[in-house]
Amino acid sequence: MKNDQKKQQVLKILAKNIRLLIEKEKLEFHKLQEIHLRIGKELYVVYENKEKFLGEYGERHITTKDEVRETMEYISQYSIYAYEQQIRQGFITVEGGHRAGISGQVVQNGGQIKTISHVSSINIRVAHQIKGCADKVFPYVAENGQLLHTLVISPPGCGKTTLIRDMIRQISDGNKYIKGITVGVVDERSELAACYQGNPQNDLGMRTDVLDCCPKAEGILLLIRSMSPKVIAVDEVGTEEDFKSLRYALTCGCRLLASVHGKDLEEVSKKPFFGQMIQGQWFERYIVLSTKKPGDVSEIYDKRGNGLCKSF
Amino acid sequence: MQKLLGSILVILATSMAGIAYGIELNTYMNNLLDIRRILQMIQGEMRYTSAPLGNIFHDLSRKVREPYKSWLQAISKETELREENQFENIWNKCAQQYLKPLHLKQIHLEKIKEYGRFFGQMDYATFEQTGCSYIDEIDYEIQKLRAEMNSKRRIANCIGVMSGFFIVIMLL
Repeated sequence: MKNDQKKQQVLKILAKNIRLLIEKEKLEFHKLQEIHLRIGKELYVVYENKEKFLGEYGERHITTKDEVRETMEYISQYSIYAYEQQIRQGFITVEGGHRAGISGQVVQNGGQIKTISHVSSINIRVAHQIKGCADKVFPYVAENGQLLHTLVISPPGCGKTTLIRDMIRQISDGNKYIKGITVGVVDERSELAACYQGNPQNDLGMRTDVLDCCPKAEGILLLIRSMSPKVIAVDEVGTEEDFKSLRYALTCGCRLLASVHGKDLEEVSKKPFFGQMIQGQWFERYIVLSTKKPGDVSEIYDKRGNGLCKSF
Repeated sequence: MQKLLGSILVILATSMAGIAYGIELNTYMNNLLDIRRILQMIQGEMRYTSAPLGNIFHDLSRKVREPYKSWLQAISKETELREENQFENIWNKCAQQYLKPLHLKQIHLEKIKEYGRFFGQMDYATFEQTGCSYIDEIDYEIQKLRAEMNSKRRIANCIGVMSGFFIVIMLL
């Protein structure tokens, strides 16, 4: 995505006052990571991994209620009702795959979150797709031009989704290890494809079909029936239904690419259902990401749990 | 002979004026019916597609005739631009500008503007209730017009013919 395009996409969802402040700063948008708006608090951005406070005449700008309300109008395109489902999950994906996380007063109905009203803070995370970050893992996850069933293990914030996203793109387009094949992605939280009005904003390759905002278990079955993918990719599996669907996908001959939260293989094997999966050798490769630096691989294991390589 | 021909022409002209007024009343009511139908279509699209307003207006603009087409297209474009801090401002601005050729009465234009006040600000169920009450009000205005229209049209026709005769008598 071009820098100018990214700039326009981000600026147009911000309240006019904040647009002006950001424009004045002359930020390079490929280095901009987050924009934080909290009613009555200082406005700041995360830029090159550092916080940068914005303001005028040497004074920090305090975000007002009107600015937050105006920003919500722009984020939702004046259509809060259209984003009810996303708001219930606490975020709205906007054009370009950028994500606006919101918090405020949660309204419940029958014990379930109905919506978030009186939004008090917004965190805009600027989308950055890192193409090529999966190059290093392909020699280990491909065999005879085919993808091996792969599970990515990582604690939150260590680059698990970014890695899977690039793996999907390369599997779909093909590379020197794998011939391009159809990939079905069930993107329950719109993180992989970052769909905006159904269109993936991230490049997931030319042979990829995405089911956006769909529960994983149902989505897997739906994709197998409708799109006959050769590879099924899902992020953060964990429930019993997910496992049943993954087993169905295996019996249908699909290759699996999935991820799970965890520190290492041992910890994951103690989680409900995962022990059975690991013992049953559902997956042929386990990629464990490092906690030291986002995106770094700590270890790759084969289906028996033997280490294939360490830290790269 | 000339006097007779002139008299007929005068009576015809004034009668036509009366009929034209009746047609104008009918057109006005049809315009209100069209607006009501568009508002209902908007609610229907919101209910079934849950798409953002910009998309809904863009899609609907392809299904309606002018000047409604330009009106809906303009709203869609303005929504995409995100220059107004509230949707109500976009709605009012576009209604004022693009519904001008319809020569709506102030009271009817106000009703349409009021309808836009609640767009997109709340969950759909709440909006539907509010929206329906405004559509009911427009309905009421249409019923009122319809009830008045027949008698008004008859009076206009009569006045047209009578004034023709009156002018003829005066001129003779």
